[in-house]
Amino acid sequence: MSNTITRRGFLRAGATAVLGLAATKLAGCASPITPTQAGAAASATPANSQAFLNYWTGWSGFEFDALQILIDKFNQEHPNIFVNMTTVFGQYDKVLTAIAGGNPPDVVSAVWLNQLTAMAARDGLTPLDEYAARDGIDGSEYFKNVWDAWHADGHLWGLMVTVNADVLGYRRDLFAEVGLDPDKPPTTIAELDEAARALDKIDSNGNIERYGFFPTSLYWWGYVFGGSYYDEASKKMTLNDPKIVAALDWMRGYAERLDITKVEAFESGFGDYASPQNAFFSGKQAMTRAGEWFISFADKFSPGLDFDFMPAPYPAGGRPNCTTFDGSCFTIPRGVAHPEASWEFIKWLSQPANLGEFAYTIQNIPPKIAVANEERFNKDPRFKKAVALYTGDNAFGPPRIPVVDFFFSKLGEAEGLVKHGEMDPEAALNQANQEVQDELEKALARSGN
Amino acid sequence: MTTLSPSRLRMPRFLSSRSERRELAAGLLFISPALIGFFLFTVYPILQSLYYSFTDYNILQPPVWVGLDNYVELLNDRVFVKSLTNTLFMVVIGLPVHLVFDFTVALLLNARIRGLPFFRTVFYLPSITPVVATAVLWAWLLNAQYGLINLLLDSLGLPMIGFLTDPNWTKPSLILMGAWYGGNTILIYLAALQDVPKELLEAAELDGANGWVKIWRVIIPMVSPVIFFTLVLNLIGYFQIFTEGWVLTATRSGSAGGPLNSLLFYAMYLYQNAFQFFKMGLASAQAWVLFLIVLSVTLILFRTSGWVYYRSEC
Repeated sequence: MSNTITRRGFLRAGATAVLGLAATKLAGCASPITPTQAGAAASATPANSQAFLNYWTGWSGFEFDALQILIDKFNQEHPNIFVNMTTVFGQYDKVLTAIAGGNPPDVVSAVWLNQLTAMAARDGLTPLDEYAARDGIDGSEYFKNVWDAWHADGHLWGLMVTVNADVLGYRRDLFAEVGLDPDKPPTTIAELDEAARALDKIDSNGNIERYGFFPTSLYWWGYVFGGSYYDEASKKMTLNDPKIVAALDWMRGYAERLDITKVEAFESGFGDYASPQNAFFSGKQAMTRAGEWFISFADKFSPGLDFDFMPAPYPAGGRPNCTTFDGSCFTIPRGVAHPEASWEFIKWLSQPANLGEFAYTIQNIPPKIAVANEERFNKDPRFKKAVALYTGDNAFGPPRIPVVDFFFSKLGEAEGLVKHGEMDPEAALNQANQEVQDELEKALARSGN
Repeated sequence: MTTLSPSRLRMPRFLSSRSERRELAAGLLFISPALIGFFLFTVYPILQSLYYSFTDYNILQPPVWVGLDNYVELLNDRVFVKSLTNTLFMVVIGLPVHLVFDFTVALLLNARIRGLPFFRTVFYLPSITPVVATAVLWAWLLNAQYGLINLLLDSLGLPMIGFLTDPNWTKPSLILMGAWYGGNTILIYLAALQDVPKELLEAAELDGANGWVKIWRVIIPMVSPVIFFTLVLNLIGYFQIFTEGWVLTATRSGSAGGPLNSLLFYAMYLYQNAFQFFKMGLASAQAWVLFLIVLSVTLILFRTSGWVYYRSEC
């Protein structure tokens, strides 16, 4: 026969091509990404027998670069493992769908504590107890608060490399400007209110030019006022704890005094948070909720800024030196291809030298006691203050419930309703409490507890 | 041909010959990429979401059948009702305002004036900017304290308005922003307007009709099929409104909805339920409720479309 293409031949070839293409496409979806496809950023060329780990991180920018240096080091030290780091924003949806699709990333970090509990409760993560026990990681090196926080349902679900704790930042220069002593920041709620009023600046039209303080995050202040949100023993939500009601009532006072619509108008003009136009840097706020990471943040965007940290002032019956903390957990999703290699990576990163290097570069608190006590972390007295807070008795991680996101959403909603004068604190928190409790019971019934 | 199998009997006549069947096979083969894509990525997910809507499903664990629970839960969900009313506000008020505005602009752009191409370009231009960029831009224009619009109000001695911070103003502000996206609709109207027969307009003029009467008695009836078309399309679009609300209100902590949830739209709450609260089953039910709402409103529109005049009828 000649070489001319018959119609039938053409169709056959076409069909084969289409089917072949579809097959490769499907296969490409299902199989783990190969090193060449991923176009790995690092220098080492992975060998064939290597475990290739896809690591999804929440870090970007200079923090990503700092971590990449460590990862390059890990890849060099481990010829049989290759870690490829990718910044994945909005991890929730992507991680969930990846796990559901049977092709999860091998390691996920910057999973916050609330995500950790929520995903663990739904079988989304690999429990790490056995690996930890085998390799002698029993929590003795870690601060107790944070070690406990990684557990849910009696299992260990992740290791944290950096911790963040809430502190109140205040501008020493502005304190001095209005005649307050910058060395003696307020310690009680009454003193805080007084200082805040002294620092307010309102123009002739009644518009805010600067406020001393406007409390946000009922979650934190509820603890400061002595409340708690969840009773683990009875599995009951307690958002309507009278002390939390009192905290919200106190916050309402600010919303009424400064006029919430004026505050929101003012705040809508705040510059980007991660920029020199940050309201605290530009002097629109004299006090703000911050964390130990705020130091490097300020160095970067507002060098030389004269500010300090104070623990949250508290009322009679409240908690002194109270903070809420969170941090970036490293977790292994369920169903990964090389759990041993994933664990090896997390374990390596948790070694004091590596963890310390990373935490120091991005100025976060290291969760290990010995590391946090290193000289370099204690040079700045402000950093020391933050560390002291979160290792103290009144440091709280998010409630360990599977519906923690729902909880935060409802708590935030209650805060908004009260600040806008739509509901009084008790009614708003009763409503939120009931809704979260219902949701919790549903989730617990589902997981068989 | 001796015997015919029953299946052969049912086969349409044009398929009776071997070559015709081969043609059919070839044809199907050629459109198979589209068919496979349609069934795999459209029909299957749609049916699957219908199934999920009757289950408790959190993506990570296998779904558990719960019957109508999700639908009952939606009815009792305060926030769901809020998101629905927010969305209906946009549909009932935003949509007509939007269409009337676009039609008016199209009428003006159809007039014979100098610099017409310039004006047409100006009105179309915003449509080529992405919604996200436009939303961010408007967030600054409408800023309560430093926004240009408020500076203008202030200089006129009028009170400044918290366009995006006052819960009563957020949705009207969004409708105002919507005027910007009108380019495509304006373009469609413009095409229809140019299609209005000149002889009809001339006849009307000879009969003494003024501009107003011409618009109401000639132009609008003649372009009514196009108005109807844009009405239906934009209606569906407004029911699914998401981007503007999300971009304007999403916070660093991942929550969205704006002051007092006044910009929490149906699709935004659906997304939150699905991906933030692990309630994919509920979110699927929500999607189906929205589908039924849009379907019934569209059907009502079609049933009441007697005002639409199709030229082919005469």
